[in-house]
Amino acid sequence: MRQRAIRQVLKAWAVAIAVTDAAAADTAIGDGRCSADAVAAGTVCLDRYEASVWRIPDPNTGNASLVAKIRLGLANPGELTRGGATLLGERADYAPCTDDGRSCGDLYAVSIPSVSPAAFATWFQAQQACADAGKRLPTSAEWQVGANGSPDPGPDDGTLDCNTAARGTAALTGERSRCVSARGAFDAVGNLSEWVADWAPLSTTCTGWASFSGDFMCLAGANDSKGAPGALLRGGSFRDGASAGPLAISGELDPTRAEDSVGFRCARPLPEPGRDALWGAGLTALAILARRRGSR
Amino acid sequence: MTKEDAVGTIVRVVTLVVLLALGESAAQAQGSPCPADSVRSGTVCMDEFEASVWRVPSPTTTSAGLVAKIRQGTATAADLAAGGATQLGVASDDYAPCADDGQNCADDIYAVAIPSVAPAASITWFQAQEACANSGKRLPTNAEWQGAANGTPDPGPDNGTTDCNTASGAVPRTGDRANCVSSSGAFDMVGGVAEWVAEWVPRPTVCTGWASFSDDDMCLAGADTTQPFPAALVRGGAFTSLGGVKAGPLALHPFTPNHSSGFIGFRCVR
Repeated sequence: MRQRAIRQVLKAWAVAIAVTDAAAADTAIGDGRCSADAVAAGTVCLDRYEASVWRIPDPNTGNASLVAKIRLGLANPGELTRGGATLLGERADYAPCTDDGRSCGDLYAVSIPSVSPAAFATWFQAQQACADAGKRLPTSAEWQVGANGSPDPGPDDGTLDCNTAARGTAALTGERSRCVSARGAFDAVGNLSEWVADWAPLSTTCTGWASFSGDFMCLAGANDSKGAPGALLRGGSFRDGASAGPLAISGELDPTRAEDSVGFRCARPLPEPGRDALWGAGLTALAILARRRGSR
Repeated sequence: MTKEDAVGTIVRVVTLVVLLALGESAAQAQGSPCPADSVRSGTVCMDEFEASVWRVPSPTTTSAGLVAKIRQGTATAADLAAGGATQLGVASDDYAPCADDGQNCADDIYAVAIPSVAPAASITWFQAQEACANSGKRLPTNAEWQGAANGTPDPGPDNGTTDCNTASGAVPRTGDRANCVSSSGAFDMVGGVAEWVAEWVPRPTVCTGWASFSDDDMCLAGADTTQPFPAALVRGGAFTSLGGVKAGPLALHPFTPNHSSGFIGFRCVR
């Protein structure tokens, strides 16, 4: 019990350090309830960026502290490089992690800016990469809350707008500075279409949203012949033009498929008030006070 | 070195120490360790074993201590016997007065994840949900179940002793098939009893399988527009029906949530 309490304090302290460091770097820190790699969205911390996937050598021994930082949302590209991590997903290079999610223990999803988001992952591989990072795929409903407020694309100017048309390939995470949701998540619209947790019978048609939205809506009908269920995709990709958007949804892709336009982001539960959040808030306040006193 | 630089250096040293401390084990870095009756899988603690269901007498008074142990994941078979608990769902649907639709189940039946007992069967989705809830848990989602099941051997033959129990035709016992364990450490995700998960969908109409991806059953296809009842999903296949090579970590079947049979059980998550 005592060890558990000490761990909670240490974890909260580490989160507090990350928050104050982010504040010092003048980066967006949300409301401090989530680590710097995520934004608070209802009851979850939704990753701020589309996932990049890294293969980490010796994750349980030599790189255990790097893995701990990933799980706390504190890892940065420099640390990943120093740990010998390899960025995956610019092509289908996840093996020996199999398409159905076996032998994936060395893959870690990381939410950081200015890297290539992972494409070519099946739903199973995406789920494992989230789990190894102490996270999970968000549900469609959780994704929706995190995406609300993202600009619904008109033209894509190729630099600031959501990456839905001009480039023809995935952009680096977070590089489209206007493509941010009300809660601070980047690239929910466009760039890579994103797996979420939900399965349904494979959809057969796209009915759209009628006059409600111009975004695509392909969760309709139920295939009774193809050999797989459907896993839901959200947001649209760099190929979808004006039909990408915060309401874009498809049940037409099965979870075994790996596509160049499909990626994912992860989520973790928001700490409950009275536990990590209160420890974090208190220690954050102390750390900010110490930083201010140190700068006088 | 300025005072601010010194503070920054100290802060980073402390951070490093913290992270090294947290990096002692994977479980520690993922948050609080899971209770003893469960294994870490992503963001949840999945029950290590299929649920056995117990009726605990006087759960809010004389057996309050036993119920607390169940909720903490530390209750043993000996604790349950000492508390006068009765195991249900072993040979028949004997959950009454807990009804098929989940009425009259609160503070009555408790799901417990322990080894070497018969897993509960003959239970509806509603009763399973209530048994988890009384134990401070819930049914896992399909995605949570999938994450915890990955790595479980996809059955070929069942050797009757260590392989997943997919062909014995005999009522299984929790955790007695030593090789039937997933990457995260959960037993019997494949075979044993098929397991209810949380999701409901329109009633599927056909089993299409997974084509060349897997030989496991896959019956989430089509959508009925005439019959009553939605469908709830069961996963993993079973020791008899839904068994054989069509059982596996990708096996997926629909049953109406009011259905009960001797080959459908569940496990809980928290």
